[in-house]
Amino acid sequence: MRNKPLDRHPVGFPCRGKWGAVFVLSALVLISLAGCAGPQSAAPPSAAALLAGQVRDQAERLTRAKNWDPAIRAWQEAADRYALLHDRTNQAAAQHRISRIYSEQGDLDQAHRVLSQTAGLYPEAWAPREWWTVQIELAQLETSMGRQAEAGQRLDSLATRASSLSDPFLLGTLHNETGLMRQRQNRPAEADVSFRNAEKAFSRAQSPVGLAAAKCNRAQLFSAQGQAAKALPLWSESLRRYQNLGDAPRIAYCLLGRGETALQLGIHLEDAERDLRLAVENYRLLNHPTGKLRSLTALAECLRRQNKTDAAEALQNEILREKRAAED
Amino acid sequence: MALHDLTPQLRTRLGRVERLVGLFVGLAALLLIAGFLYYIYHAAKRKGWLVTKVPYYTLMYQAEGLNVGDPVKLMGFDIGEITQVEPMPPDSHFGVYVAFQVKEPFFGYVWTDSEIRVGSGNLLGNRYLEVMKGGLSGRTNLSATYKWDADRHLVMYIDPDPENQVAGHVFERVDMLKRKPGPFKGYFLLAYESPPINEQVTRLIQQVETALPNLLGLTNPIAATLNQTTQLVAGLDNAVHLSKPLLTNLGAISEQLRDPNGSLGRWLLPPAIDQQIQRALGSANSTLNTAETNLSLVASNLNRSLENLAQITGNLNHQVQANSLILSEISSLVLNTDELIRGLQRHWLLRGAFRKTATEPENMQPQPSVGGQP
Repeated sequence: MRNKPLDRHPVGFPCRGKWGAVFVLSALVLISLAGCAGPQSAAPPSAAALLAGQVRDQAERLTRAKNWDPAIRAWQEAADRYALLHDRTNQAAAQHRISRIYSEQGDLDQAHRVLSQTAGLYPEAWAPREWWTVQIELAQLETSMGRQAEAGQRLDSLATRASSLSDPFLLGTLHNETGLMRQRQNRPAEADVSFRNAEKAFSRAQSPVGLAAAKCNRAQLFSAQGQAAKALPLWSESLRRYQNLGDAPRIAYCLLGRGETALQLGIHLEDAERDLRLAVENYRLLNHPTGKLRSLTALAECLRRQNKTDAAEALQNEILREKRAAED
Repeated sequence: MALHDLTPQLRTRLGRVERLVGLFVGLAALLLIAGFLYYIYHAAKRKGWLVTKVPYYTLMYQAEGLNVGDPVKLMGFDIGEITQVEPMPPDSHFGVYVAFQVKEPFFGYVWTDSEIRVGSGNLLGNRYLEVMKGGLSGRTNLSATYKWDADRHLVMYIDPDPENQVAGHVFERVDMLKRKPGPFKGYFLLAYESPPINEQVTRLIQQVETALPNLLGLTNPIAATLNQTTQLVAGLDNAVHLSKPLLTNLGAISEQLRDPNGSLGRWLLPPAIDQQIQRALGSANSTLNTAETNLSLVASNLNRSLENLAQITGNLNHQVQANSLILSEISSLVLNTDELIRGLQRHWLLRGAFRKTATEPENMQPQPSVGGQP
């Protein structure tokens, strides 16, 4: 009897002979060819560029650690290194960060000076997005510095070019700043229009920060105009958005605004008292004496409206103390 | 029995024995004479009979303790002996003439500036002469007192101008000097003599006798002082008696202070604080012990680590020295690896694995302002 030949592949890999191996090899070759067909790599960066990048990374870390003075020095060194390499984009970015740090420290003059220099490095046609960003921030700084006329001229000039601005977030920010300027110019109707335009733009940009800011600004616009009924739901909406964002100062502000608006309306005073007490506590935790004083004043008024005179009188002492502290 | 009575054989034998005895006796006599001569030679050498001796003399005030035959010393050696001690004429300044001899080669140490010190030998009053070695005076115009000239004649220094010493060195042969009329005394050396011990003791006793009346005169003031001291001690005794109650009170106060419940320490430190301090000290002690143990452990570990580090650096140094091109190779390796990673980053299959992380710089968008904030 003739023996049956042994199966060379009794278990596992189902071999189909040499065609299987050819298929696998062909697949590997195709994959490699596809990779090689990709874009050619740019020339490797020079040692000076690498060094500038390292300094920039170091400055970034220092900024995140809020180590402001070393961060400013590191950003300045990075800007100088990029300037030596004629890399204006990165030089301007480094200077922009210096301006932000000065602004964070409250040195608005220095921030404005550095940002003005940065604006010269960003031609509108060459880097439109950066140019718009710097211009809007310059307007914000001028507003904070009390140079309202200058800020107004800048924003008006920017508004005429808004059609060329394709970035919806920047457009929303521009409308938002314009609305604030219109409000300061006592042109509430135009301010409301600007805030609405800002809301639309922020919606397109899907920016919760922008939407919350626009809602908040509309709420404080209506409150300032005495239209408390319109303002109250906007305060609630902005409060909800800022709570989602975890922005503590704005949460405190929205609580204060909603409490004051409810007090203005004379309804839901208990809710207003609760909001105002929360605002007092938040501003105390934030070490914000002005906000705390305003919240305490509103809370005392709210308590008086509720005939809680004893509690209101008790708050008066704290209000006087806070006033003295604010004066000192 | 006569010799001729013997037989011829016996006579022949006896004559031979006689010759042998005679030879033996002769040899013995020669040996005896030789030994005697050697003894004489040795004694002469020991006593200096065979060496050249030169004469010196000096003048002194008194001859007490000096005798003929007494040794003369130089640097602790016996270099000769006194040969003559005679009194000087009554009209002479000095009282005694002393002559002595110095053996060769010690007269070579005696120069023109050498002096004689007369020292006290013992308590019995003996004295001796000590010649000081020459050249110690610091003078420059010095010369030996005796020396051998070129013809092997002994010559003595003759000082033609002893006051100024400007005439130079003049020597004259000793045998010529001995032929001159008058006795040849030799070279004169000046002597500095100290009084004998007996005389010194006598002078001391005389001084004591002189001072004794003064010492006796001190007894009266000492007696008065002692009387006053006695009175003072009596007064102190009374004071001690009077201060006994005070001491008793002090003892009582100190007992009070030693009592733990009333002591000053208890007033300042209440018992609770004392216990707490003791506990704290115990804890501190245990902490220190633990820290010491841990510190020693840390130190030993650190030492081990440093040793390992030293080995690592040593090995690295060895490797670097052995491979001089290792740094360039590492550099090229890093560059090649960088190129490889960049290539992999571009590859469509691996591009997703190299996404940017959260270390990207923050978004530089402007933050929308919120108006009306406090």
